[in-house]
Amino acid sequence: MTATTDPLLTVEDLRVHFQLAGTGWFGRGKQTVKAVDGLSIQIHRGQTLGLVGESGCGKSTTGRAILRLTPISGGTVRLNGRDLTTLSAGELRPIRRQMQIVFQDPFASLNPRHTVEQIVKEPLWVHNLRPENERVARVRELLALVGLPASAMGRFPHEFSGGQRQRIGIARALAAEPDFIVLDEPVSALDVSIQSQILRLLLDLQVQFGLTYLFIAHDLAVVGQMSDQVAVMYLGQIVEIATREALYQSPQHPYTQALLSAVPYPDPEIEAKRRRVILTGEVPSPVNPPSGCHFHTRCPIAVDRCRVEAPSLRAIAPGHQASCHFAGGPPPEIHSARPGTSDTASS
Amino acid sequence: MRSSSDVGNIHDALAAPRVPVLSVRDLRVEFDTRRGRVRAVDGVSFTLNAGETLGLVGESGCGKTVTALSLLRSVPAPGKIDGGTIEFEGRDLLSISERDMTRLRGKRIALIPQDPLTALNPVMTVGDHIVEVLEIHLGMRGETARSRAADLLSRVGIPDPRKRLDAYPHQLSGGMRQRVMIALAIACEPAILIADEPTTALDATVQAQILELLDEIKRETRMALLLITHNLGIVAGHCNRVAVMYCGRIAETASAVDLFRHPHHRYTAGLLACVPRLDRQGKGIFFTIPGTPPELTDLPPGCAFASRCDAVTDHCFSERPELATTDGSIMTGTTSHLMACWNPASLASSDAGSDHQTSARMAVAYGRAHEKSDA
Repeated sequence: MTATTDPLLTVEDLRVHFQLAGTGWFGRGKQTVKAVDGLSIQIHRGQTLGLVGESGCGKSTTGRAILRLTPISGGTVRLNGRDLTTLSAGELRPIRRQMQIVFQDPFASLNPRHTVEQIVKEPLWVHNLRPENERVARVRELLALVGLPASAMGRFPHEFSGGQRQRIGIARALAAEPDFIVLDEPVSALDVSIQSQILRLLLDLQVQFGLTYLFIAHDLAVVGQMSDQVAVMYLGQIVEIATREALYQSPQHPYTQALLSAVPYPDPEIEAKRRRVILTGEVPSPVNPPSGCHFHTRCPIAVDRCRVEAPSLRAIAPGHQASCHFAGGPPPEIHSARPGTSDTASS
Repeated sequence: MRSSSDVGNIHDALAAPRVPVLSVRDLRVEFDTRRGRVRAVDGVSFTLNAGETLGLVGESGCGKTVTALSLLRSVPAPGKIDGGTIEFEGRDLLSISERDMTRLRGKRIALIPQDPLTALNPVMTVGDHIVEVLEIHLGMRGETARSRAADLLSRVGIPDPRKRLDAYPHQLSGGMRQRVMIALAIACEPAILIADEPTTALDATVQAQILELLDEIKRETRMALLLITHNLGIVAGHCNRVAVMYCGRIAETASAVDLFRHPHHRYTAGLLACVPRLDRQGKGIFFTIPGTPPELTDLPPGCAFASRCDAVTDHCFSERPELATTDGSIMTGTTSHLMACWNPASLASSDAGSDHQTSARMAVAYGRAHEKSDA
């Protein structure tokens, strides 16, 4: 961890609230979804922050809000020291070049009517990079960087496999010569064997170009292979954030522990002996989050206090924060057999 | 929670002689495409036993889904089954009439498809879906069917089942939709349940819930479960036996314990090494199988995996290996450890079939060998 320099990206108290159309007349009964509610992170140049959580926890919204692809309700986002939240669309444009995104679905995120050359060339044109006559050569170079042959240029996205399509998406992001890339579940849609190829490519590119990543995923096992720091999100808030080592070796929040325990281990005998924390149900609706600690409805160690008093994110160790009343004490013992904590009620 | 006697159960299951519920022999499925004739499934044989889970594992396009659909005789056009037998309850499914097949489909052999959103009709309620199955296959009507449908929803862990009967698919989360699909599939208490990537679209936490649910139902009903996935990590805790498919053929098959401890085929070892694990965390610690599978229209004459294999020999390019036991005898139909490889991994090394560490060490070596060559 090189924390000597200023972070490339600083997000403070980021809030993204969506108004839902009210059920009553004249907008009465309007409800607010706090998709992201007071999120703060820092990422240093050349580093990766992994952002983990279940569907609907606000992790993708966070990524989009940082890039200002979604309106922000509050907080600041600083890239290279510059506050993006106060910039006008025109002022933002040159800065957009520095921040790019790779999407989850390599089928939906590439225009099916554009050739690979058009797709990868578009950022060059938008940001006026490279003289016109050098752009084709640049596209060829970018494709080579992501491991695609020059013969791919004239072909259309549907002619490629999922992994190859994701390489095209990465080439497009690289075309703008960014400092910072949001990787929004870049391998979730791919076969395990292809996942590792793409992850290795992303790491190689990070080293080669000093890229800074926000890596969004729902699988802690994947995130650990990519990240220097990991943040776990639940219902719009970070519930635990730490260095990779600390988070995997001494997870403090029961939600983090449950996510870790959901990762399958590739050995039948160890799997059979494993004590598993299987969370009941799914993430509650963010329209009407539970009182107190948002996680208490699914938490295996929740007590009365958790239902009324919301824990705040507090330091457990240097660089390790968690928002649980029990974090930092003796590691909370999770009683996996406790009634109501397991989905497998019959066993 | 999972009982610690599961390992024992796995061993018991292997030791006890079983009469298979379903046995597939030399299955072949062909697709006539513009680019030529493709054999998506080429001589696949396996058996399913009551109360057992067989994991069918492989990358996209390896033929695992087509194999599953063959069991239902639902291979989409232009695909057609052009060889082999599928024996089920004393009959060959490939020779019975379409009418008889319709009676079996969804009743005795059920499928949980990969994508629960597209599998459900958006203009039908959850209740309509289940009641339809109960009416057609079991002749249930009215309130009887509805209350049975509610029972099924409650069985798959859907809270407030009576109310959920009137919900439309879009009102449910991905995990809930998959539970509805499971309720539909088990509505007629089938002898065989095929789950095609049942958790691929789901969060890790929900994935664990769904797999536990399938395990429970299997234990209760003694049905045979065919679990199809691209992730070897998933099958470890949930399968008794595993078959790894590559380019339309079975590359290796064994009991789950055997396969994970001593993967012989280099492809199996590679897939195993690709599984992201919590005990091997660190930035950049991961393993890749280089390249992609060859096009089925353009299969090499030898081993289909040869071009991606790190232990390839000349023999591998010239002659295709058949599925055989580890001592080299050709498959006889038993459920021992079989593989189709000329140069199997842990047999070639001096510490053949040693300990638990073998696969891990091999995996490490495997990853390093390709560190530079995978782009």
